[in-house]
Amino acid sequence: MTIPPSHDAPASSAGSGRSRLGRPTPAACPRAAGVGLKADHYREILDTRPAIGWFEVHAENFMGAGGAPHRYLTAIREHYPLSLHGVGLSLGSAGPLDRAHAKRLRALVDRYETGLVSEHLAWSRHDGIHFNDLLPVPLTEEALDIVAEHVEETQDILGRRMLIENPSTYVATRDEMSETEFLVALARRTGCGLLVDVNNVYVSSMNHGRDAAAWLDAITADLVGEIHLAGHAVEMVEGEALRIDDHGSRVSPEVFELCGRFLDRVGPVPTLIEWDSDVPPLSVLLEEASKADKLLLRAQAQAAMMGRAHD
Amino acid sequence: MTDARPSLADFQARFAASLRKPEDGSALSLFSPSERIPLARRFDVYRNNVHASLVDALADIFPAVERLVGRDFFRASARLFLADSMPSLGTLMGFGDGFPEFLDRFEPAARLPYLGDVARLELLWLAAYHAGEAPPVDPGALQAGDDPSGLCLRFHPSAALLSSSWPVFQIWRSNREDAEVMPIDLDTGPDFLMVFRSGGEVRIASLDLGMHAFCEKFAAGAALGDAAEAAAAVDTDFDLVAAFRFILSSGAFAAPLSERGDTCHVQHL
Amino acid sequence: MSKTLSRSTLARSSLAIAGALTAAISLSAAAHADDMGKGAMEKCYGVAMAGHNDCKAGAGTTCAGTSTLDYQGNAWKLVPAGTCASIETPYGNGSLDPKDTQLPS
Repeated sequence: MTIPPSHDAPASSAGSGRSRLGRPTPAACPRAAGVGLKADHYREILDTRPAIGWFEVHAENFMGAGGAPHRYLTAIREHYPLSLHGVGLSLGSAGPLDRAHAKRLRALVDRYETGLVSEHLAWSRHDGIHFNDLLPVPLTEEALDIVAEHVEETQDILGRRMLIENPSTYVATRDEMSETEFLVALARRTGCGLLVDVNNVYVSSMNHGRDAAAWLDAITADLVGEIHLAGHAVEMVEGEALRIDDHGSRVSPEVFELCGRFLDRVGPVPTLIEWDSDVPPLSVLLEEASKADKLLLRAQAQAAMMGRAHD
Repeated sequence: MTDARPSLADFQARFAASLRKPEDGSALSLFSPSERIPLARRFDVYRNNVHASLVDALADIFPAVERLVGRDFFRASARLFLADSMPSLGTLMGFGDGFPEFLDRFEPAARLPYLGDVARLELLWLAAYHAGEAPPVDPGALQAGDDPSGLCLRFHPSAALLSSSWPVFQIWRSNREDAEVMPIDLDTGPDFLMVFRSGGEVRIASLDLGMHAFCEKFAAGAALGDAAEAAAAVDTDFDLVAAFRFILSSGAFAAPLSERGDTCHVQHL
Repeated sequence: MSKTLSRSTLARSSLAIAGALTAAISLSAAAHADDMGKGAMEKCYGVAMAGHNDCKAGAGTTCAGTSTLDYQGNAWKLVPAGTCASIETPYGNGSLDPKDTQLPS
């Protein structure tokens, strides 16, 4: 069973600032499973209205002026809350923030009254070139200053809190702090929340011989606004496994396991199933979402039993 | 390497340079040593992500070109194109704009002279798909005034013209739609096409010579009288009634900005 | 507008335009929207909105990596080998000379 959209749950980190009035906005993403919205599924979603809490879109795919993408998204937004996930802002660039891009994000947030808005701890632009990939930021004090400035500037343009996602990495940068220290400091300094991609945590930890559970343990509940789950590929390189975050398969059992334990501690938060390459039928995404919903229900029951209030 | 930790700007300059030059291992000193998997192989994941994702994006934009030349040829060409034509925007809008000209000059494709025009048509299709909305022209707007020859008609934001020496529409259509591409005789060109969106659907109209001249004048900001004259000059049988029916029914034209001929300098954007 | 045209030509052309416009408007009003089988719309081709082509159209943005290793450094025989063989060119079809091209690897 999928948890239906809920408008009576407090949505402090999930919704916009307006939810602090005690009443969540209609646009808030519920603390339930959502799935990444793919163009192949627009029609089926509108025709069948699957019971799913919310959808997430890549912001850049809706930065055109008009046409079918906006028509479909408008129609889908009439029935579901939306989360806006940016992939091209390049918050980690040493150069100035691409303010025009941030303003395009703002326009989409306003147009679709999205419940969540997020971007990555990564860079993709250098010297006027957009590399179309999430490249790693060295975890230094200097980089923290720069990223924090860019997050603050973006939040000013958006007029609201954003979430920052941990990336999958394949090389280890020469760091001054751990990734969780960096992200927690970023959140404390800017007021942003965190989008914890558990698959990315697992992929990076395995690629660098680190402990994924310890990574998750370092994140406090108050910072977590959203969770991402996706599948990854395993490439054998000279007899060793290198994990690649390709969003092209089901979520691995290890990642579900980590996610379940994390949710048990931090309580239920909006949890997304991402699938971006070799996109399967919608029913497969919904199956994955129902697995996430089971974890969310368990976390909710546990929280209720312990009489613990979140946030 | 024991050099001091580079600034973020320096880190990114060296990372970016190595991304684009595979023989260049200088970025590897930016990272901590790797025990198991060699650093170079790890860095290759980023190189691959960048290039494969951008080649994939080109394949999404130019599916008919890809089908015409085959996957291997397309991907090899796309990688050569990327050497000078990396995207500049995080939206990828405008990425691939130079691909038709690249194909025109691309010697291994020299015997497919129509390839650049097929790519042009695919770019126009994409532009129409994403173009802004505007109300279509309505009969009331055209009826205003005694002398309609000064009327300034405006393309819908999605609309654009393409002329080609080749039967590019047939080539494009068969390669996008048909399970088995039909034989096409290259001598059946030229083509005069108008790409536009009607509602949410991209459409392509194959225009005759007169209609093409007629529409070209509007694209240049001319008034109705000028356009009709240009059409009649290339086609003595130009059917003005049919032309107006197209204007009113196709969705390719937007409501005029002005009903006064003397202000008709508006260039279609 | 050509300056060589006389006033009467201009007037005639204005009249012709006005007449054609009135005819088109009345025809359009009388005809069903899909009754467009005449004139310039005859060859107009609509691409179905649900067609596979519009799905990915120009998106290409991603927050995922790719496990498709696509970064080879070897020389390719750059020979078009798709459906272009079905197009009859002045040079014949499909029989193209292989070109060795060294790709930047």
